[in-house]
Formats: sequence, C-alpha cells, structure tokens
Amino acid sequence: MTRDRRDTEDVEWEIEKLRIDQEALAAKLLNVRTNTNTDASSLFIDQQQLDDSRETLFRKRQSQTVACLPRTKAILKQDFFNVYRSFAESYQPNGAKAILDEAIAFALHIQKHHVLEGWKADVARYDLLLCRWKRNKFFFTIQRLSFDIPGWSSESAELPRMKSLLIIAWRFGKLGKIQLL
Amino acid sequence: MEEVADAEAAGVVVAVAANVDWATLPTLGVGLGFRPIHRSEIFLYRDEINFLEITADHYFDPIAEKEKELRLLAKNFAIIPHGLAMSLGSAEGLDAEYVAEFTNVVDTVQPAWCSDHIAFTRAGGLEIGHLTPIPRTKASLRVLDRNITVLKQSVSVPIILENITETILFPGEAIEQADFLTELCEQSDVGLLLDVTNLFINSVNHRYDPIAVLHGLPRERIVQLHFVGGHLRDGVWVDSHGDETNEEVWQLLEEVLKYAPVKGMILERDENIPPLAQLIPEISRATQLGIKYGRWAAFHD
Repeated sequence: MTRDRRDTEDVEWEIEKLRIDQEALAAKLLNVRTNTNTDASSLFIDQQQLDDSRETLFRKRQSQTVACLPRTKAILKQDFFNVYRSFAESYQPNGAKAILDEAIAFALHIQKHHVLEGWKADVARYDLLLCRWKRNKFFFTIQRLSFDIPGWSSESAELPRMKSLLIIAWRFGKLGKIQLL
Repeated sequence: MEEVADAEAAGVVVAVAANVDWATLPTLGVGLGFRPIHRSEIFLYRDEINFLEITADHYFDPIAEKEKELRLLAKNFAIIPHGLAMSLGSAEGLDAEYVAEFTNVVDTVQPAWCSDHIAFTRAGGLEIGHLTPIPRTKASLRVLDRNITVLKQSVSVPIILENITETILFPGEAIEQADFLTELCEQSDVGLLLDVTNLFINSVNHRYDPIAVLHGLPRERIVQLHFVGGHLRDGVWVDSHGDETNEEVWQLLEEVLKYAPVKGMILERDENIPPLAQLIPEISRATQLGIKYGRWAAFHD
C-alpha cells in the first residue's frame, strides 16, 4: 500500500469518525435520543461548554417559536414557556423548515394538552393557521372563528371583539392569500 | 488533467470552475444586515448604507409579497445573500433542498459574492438550529472542501465563509486557527467573511492574541467583515448581536482594515434592534475607518 493511499484511507476514517461525533453532539445539544448508535462516538466535550451551548440553543429555539406563535404566547404567558420546555425535550427538529415545523408541532401539542376555550382557542387556531400557510407551498383551508383575532393586537389590554369570521387561506407556489369573510 | 483533455478531444463540454481573482471583486463599502423591522426606514438612508446583507433563509420558498420585497431591495441596494444553515461542516454532506433554495436567492439578486459559515447545523437527521463549531482537523478541511465543491456546482458567484464563536472546544485539535483558515481558503478557493466581533470574543474567552491570528490569515482573502457589540455574562463574552459595537471591537476593526483589502463591512444587529437612525452613527464611523485606510472613498460626496 502506498503512503498516499494510506493517508487517504486515514482521512476517510477520520471523516466517518467526525460524522459519528457530529451526530452525538447534535443529540447532546438538543437533549434528545436518536435512533442511531451515538455510543460509537468517543467525543469528549467539557460539560460546562455543553451545558452553556445547550441552554443557548434552547433559548434560541424558544424565542423562534414565540416569534411564530406570538398571540398564543400572549394568552398563555408563563405557561407557554413551561409547556414548551417539556415539549422541546421530546421534539427532534429536522429539515430546511425546522423553525416553522417546530412551531406547528408545538401549536398542535398545546391544542392536545392544554384546554383553551372561547376566544383563547380561536387565538391558538389562528396562529397555527398562519404557520401552516407560511410553511406549505401548496395549501388550502377554510376555518371559522367566533372572535376577530386577525383584528386584535396581542399587546392590547382589550379582549378581541366577538365576530363570526370565515377565513379562507390558500397558497399555490408564490401566490397566496388569506381572505376574511 | 488527462481526463479533461480526452473529454475535450471527444467534444464533451467540461466545466472547470476558474479560480476567483479576489482582488477584482467590487468594493461595496459599509452596509447593514437587513431586518424586516427596517423595511420602510431603509430607503431613507440610501446615502449612508452602501449595501445590504440579507438572510437568504428568509427568502426560501417565498410568497409573491416576500419575493417582491427582495426584488425591491435588490433594485435599490447591492445585496449579499448570507446563509445560516448550509451546514458546510457536516460530514454527512449538504441538504439538496437547502442548496436549491439558496441558489434561487443568489440567482434572484445576482450578488458580487455570497456567504455562509464554517460550522455545522445538521447531523443524523437533526437540525440543530444553531451554528456549531467543527474541530480544526484535516478531516474537517476535507469535509468542507467536498461540500463547497457541491455548492459551487449550483452557485456561480464567489463564496466567502464566516468564523463563528467557539462555544465548544475540541480536545486534540491539530491545526492552529490561522493555518486552518488559510488552508481552507487555498484548497477550496473561498474567501473569508471575518466576523471581527467573533474574533474578539473568542480571543478573550479562550485567551489568545487576535492580532496574531489576523496576521496569520491571507490578507487578500478577507473580503467582508461583520461587526456588532457583544456583552459580558458571568465573566464570559457573549455574541449577543444586541449591543452597540464596543470599543475593543472598533480597535480590532481598525487593525483589520489596516491589514486587509476589505471590500465590505456589515453591521449585524439581531437583538434589541433600535430604529435605524440609532444605527447610522456606527455605520458612519465604519465608513470613515475604511476611508482612513484607503479601502474605499466616500461613496456619496
């Protein structure tokens, strides 16, 4: 075996090791278990650096989710963060639209595990609809709300007005519209 | 070489990417990382803001309104697309969908160059959502080169890559920082987007001399700079992107401008974003620094 060939094989072996280490590090940072065998990694990371990075990452994901679901956050207040922390521990973000996908998954998680009634239920449904509309290139849905959530500011001290609204949201590639009837 | 000659002899068109002549890239001056909150105000400051850096990811799969915004910005400013999640350091390779979306943005704005990071954000089907360091090893250089080669098959403009904050150190890293970046530039024919704030933060947090690192870099490859303020938290500097540029960073910026033929600088504010008028003094100060070191003339005299 020539020296060049041996060097190339060494680098290929190092790349495979790097791939396993990256997988292990990603799982550690996101605090999730993966299907792959990350035990094969011998990567040693300083625990303090790992904890700091994990917390920074968690806060970043949380603030991105708040940005996608601003009204839901406004009505749930501190509960939003409490529920998000437990949700994030078991959610594995992936794909080029990971931020919107996570926000949608979290909105569905709230609907499933959190009892929201009246106008608050409308708020959560409207935030979810907007995320889905942004996320999907081809999309069509009709939704009925009992309160004027589109016309309500989550920073306002007043509650949304009671008003029956039919929302038609559609998207066909670059074209799309959210119509209120 | 023989394979290329044979293919040419057989009448097959062989695409061989020419090396970039870094000295001939256009000088853009000082600009701003565009944030939607400044959508309206930005047009009031066309004299002060020479170019914009957009987050390419925000224009992936755009609705018509967002695409219109991009075209309007491109009509009024030189635009540089900056990717967040290409994950060029991923040993598993690139995400084809991400590359395609990034390429669409580049094709739309026809920039002088485009940029991303020396980092990985994806591994084993997990999207980390954060720029994560890679170890400075031969294997990492090989991975970067493979991924950059794939990216260059889609993107036809020069590529520059940014140094990130070293939040994680890998034991047994074999290559010094300046040597790693120099090797990366030479083997993969990329330029550097030197984040001067990150250089400052890393040098303080990990106790090294930033000037020594700077002087180890190939000066003609330092194409663009990022600058913004960070802050101290529990004795550690944090790259918060949320404060005014601090004096230590200004001093380092001056050293960089003295050393390298920089083509452009971007103020990169992401948190606590104030009205644009409050950012203009920092942009003006950076413009004056560039003029002082002959990197550009006053753009709008």
